[in-house]
Amino acid sequence: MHIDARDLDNNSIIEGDICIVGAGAAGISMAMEWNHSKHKVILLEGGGFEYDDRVQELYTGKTTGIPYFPLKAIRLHYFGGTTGHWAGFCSTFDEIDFKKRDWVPHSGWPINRKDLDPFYARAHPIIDLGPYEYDAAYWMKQYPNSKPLPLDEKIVWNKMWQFSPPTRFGTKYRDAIVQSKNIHLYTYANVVDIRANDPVTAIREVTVKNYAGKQHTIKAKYFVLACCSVQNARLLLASNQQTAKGLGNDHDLVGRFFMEHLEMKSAELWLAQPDALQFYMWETLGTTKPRAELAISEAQQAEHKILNGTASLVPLSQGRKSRAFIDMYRNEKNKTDFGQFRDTSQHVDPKDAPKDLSYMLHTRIEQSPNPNSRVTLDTEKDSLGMPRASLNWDLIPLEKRSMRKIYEIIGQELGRASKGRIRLLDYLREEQDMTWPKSTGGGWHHMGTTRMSSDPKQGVVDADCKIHSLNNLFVAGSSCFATAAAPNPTLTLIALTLRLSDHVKKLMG
Amino acid sequence: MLGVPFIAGCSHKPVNAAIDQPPFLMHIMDKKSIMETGKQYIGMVPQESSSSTLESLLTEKMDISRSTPPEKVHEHFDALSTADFKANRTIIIDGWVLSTTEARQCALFSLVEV
Repeated sequence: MHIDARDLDNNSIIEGDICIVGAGAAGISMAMEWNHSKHKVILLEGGGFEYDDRVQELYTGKTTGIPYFPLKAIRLHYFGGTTGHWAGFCSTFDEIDFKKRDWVPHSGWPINRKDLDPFYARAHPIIDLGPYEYDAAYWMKQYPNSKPLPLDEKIVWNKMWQFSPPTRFGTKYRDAIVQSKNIHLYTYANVVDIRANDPVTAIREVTVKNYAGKQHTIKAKYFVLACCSVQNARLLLASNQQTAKGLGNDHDLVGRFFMEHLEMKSAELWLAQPDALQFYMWETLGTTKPRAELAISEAQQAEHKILNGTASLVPLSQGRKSRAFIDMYRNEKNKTDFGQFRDTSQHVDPKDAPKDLSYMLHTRIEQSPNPNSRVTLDTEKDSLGMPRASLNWDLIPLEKRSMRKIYEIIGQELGRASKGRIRLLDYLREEQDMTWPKSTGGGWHHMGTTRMSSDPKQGVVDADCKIHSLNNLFVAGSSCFATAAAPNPTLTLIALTLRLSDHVKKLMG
Repeated sequence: MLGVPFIAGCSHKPVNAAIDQPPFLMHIMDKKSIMETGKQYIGMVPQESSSSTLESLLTEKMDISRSTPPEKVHEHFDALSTADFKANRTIIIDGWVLSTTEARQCALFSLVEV
């Protein structure tokens, strides 16, 4: 069922069993789990079904610290959310990503990889992926002519990615939700305030507004914030009429630990013999399109005390020409066409794949959880009266040291295998140089800000994604991540959301 | 007796021409780059700044004479490089992650191939 909140009588009161705030990957995934159930699901989306700049403008904010993309551009504020421009990269977190690592401050989740496995499998059809298989050996059997580099897997291993088409949630799930009898989707329903009961132990209602001047109240037994890392934090901080620091923020953690993936060109690989390296290339292996990236083993990460990251490969001629993400997307124009660059790629028959002697290696590495990398409220307010978000993106030397070491390790392995040599790009050559080049940029992956911990002094949500101090407020999505891991976040945030959904279902009975 | 002092860094051609030719790097680097790499190695490891020292270090595991075929020499240094990588005897020069052996070969090249 769909209702345009601009058309409702002003000050309408809407009631349901569960209220999900945000209709992006997390919100829609959760809502669909409740479709055809006996429960009334309120799904609130601030925008409409199409891009609307007046709504998108609500996401404008400030950035400080390491130069970052404009906040208006990094997320999409309409039904389907940021899936409107994601590129579809999917892989699972590693076991080490959930562990406490003494060389990574604030690391460790209260859940482990096994807790997510069943939900990863359930997430696959949601974003149109192939079989739930991420073992390189499986894909080598599927494509026996495509061989990985002969490296010691105890040191450098092949981490597999699959590619969603990419699934645009706004297209795929619109009809199901609009036609649903128990999911009530309200568009143009921007949540601007959350109100709790008097002891501030449970949420009573949320307030929504739109630019048509309408304001409404939504009441429910359970509430789930699913608006992405920046907006989830912004909403909690701005809901400060009852507690000055905002909701769920007793220990000043809401908004902190904003994490990105550093995604940068980092090194050149020069081979002894030309090779197409199809195992590491896009679009060259059948319709499921898996691809390997070079990953560093858990033992090596522990020995060298480095972060988790991977290296992807593109032919050097292509890699040298490509611009850094931070340069491509400096202005506020949303990259609504970002996903297209994969759609126009040609399928290459493996026997026709060109053999290159040299490749550019591109890093994707987790950012260490850092309390100074954070979302706060700006003094400026948006047109609905809500304080805008301000992001301070901060990095620490561990990230750069880890990047350099990753390529040292890969270089040693390639040399040991007599396969090639690595040359670090200039910004990684000086061991003592901890400055960041102008090409430093993220992957548009927003994580942390309502991080997970069983200790309320270390996290905003508990192991079930419930805000510690509030009985009926949950958070869905990557803002719950305690660490960022190496892969793109979408598959994992959907898996975590499905787990949350199952938990809330048990609570509802 | 007139003594001629030994001048540190005095360069002489190695006994076999293939000693200062790092097999892998010769495929991907031009002579200028090999020379530059070699000079940087010497700057980083000044105690190995003479051609005689470098040649001695490079040939300590194999008898190489003037008549040793170049392919045998290349094979030997390939194997040494691989062993270096296995044992983490590596060095980063100008961004290149190199084996100690090939870095020494570059250094020798920079001294003798003027």
